[in-house]
Amino acid sequence: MSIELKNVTKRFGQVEALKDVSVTFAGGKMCGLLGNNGAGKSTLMSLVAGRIYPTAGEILIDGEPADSNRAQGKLFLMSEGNLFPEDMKVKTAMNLAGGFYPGYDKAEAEALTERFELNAKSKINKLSTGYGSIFKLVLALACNAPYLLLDEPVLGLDAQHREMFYKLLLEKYAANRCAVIFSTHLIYEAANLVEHAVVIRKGRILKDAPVEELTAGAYTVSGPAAAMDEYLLGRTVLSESGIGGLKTAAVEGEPGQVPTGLEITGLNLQDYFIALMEKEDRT
Amino acid sequence: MKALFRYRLLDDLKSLAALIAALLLAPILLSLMLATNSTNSSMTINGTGAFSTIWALVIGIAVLRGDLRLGNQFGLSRRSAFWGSVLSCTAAFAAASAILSLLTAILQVIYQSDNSRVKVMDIYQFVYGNSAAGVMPAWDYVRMACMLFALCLCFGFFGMLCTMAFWRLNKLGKWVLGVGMGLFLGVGLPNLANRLSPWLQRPARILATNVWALIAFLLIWAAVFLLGAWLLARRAAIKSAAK
Repeated sequence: MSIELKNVTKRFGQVEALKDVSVTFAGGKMCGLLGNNGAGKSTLMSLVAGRIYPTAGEILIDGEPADSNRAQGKLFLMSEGNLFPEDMKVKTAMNLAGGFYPGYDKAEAEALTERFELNAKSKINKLSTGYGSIFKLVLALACNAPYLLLDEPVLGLDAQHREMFYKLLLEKYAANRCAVIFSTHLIYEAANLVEHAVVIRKGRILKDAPVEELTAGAYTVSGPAAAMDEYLLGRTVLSESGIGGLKTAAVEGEPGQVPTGLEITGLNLQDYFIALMEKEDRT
Repeated sequence: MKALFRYRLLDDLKSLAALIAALLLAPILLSLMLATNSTNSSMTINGTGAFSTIWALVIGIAVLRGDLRLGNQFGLSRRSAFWGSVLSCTAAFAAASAILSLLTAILQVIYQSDNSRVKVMDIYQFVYGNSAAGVMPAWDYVRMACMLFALCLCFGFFGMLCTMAFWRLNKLGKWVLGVGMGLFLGVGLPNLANRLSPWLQRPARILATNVWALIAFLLIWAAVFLLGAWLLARRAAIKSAAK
């Protein structure tokens, strides 16, 4: 059970949004798709969901071509854009969803609607940004599809609703073991959810590994500048910053023998991501 | 696909109900107008064919993009969403043809008396029937329904082709197509018909005298438009509608 992209390239005119991307999103895992603005995250998700077609390469969902009915019926993409008819009401969309997704739980959808205080009688295009996201999240959680693709799912949500959503997503994941591909700029918040991370930059996959492996494979070291310069020689430095006579650096690899005066701390996913991007910016 | 088919058919039938209501209201209003008119004037209503054709064209233009978007959001393949939309519109066109032909028959029966100053006609009757006769034989209404169905399919699928063409084109392309279509239909086509008239006379006579020939002609064009619409839809990028 997996979503596979094999040598996928996507061009929009002269712009190459994805370049020879090969990646597998395993079933039953919560995966974070991380990248800067314009990295290719939304393009990748749109390709998987059949909204656009690759210029080259192939995409398979559980071994079947992604554009087949059986493959598409296994996933739900929640994205910023609204694909519902302009005059459609929230309630109508929720009633309609049951006809498309065999596992759709209408009672759950109604309960979530109440919990998020979403107005079911409102027209979808009249919802605020936050409630537009909530509406799509309710559908995503209630459809019980084997694959959930969530592109910036917490866009416009206040802190309380974000917390509610994360909790519900975890509950859904624990109950169904569905595969979740989650792209977000709020890495610090998502770090507690995702087990696996795919980092994408300028259309190429930079890292594809369990979160533990990525963060365990890097650390932060800080101390006096002179001692730091000596320590960092020969090491893969992701990022460096200094104030006065002190320096802090994010380093890839094992700390090894740490000189006195230098302090080693672990790197969380957000700090690792930022450090990685800074390293790529320099090269 | 069934869910999309049901959703779209119900939506199309709602608009058909509005069309039928308008067509029912027309003779009633005309009768009232004539009743208050002291002169001996009469009026002819000729509408079901023309109105159903325009309705089908609008349906074709309006529904396909929305159905492709909705189908994709709810996990339908491009092919299933396209065919769900096409089949539901086809069913709606069939219902429209049958109902409007029956409606014409009923109105003709109601207004058939010598004293009636309202006459209800249809394009089928003008071209293939006896325009002076009023109520036609039953089999003519069946042929009329078949003709309306073919007209609806042809214009409906033409509408789908147009909407897909405009969806795929960039801004300049849309301008070129829009202006080009207007010029072709308004200037180019009449001129072309005029130049080709010596060769077109025989085929036109066949179409004007044999309703089944016209139906076959319309169905062929419907198939061509449908194929064009599919070829444009199959790789179109699905995005949210522009606000």
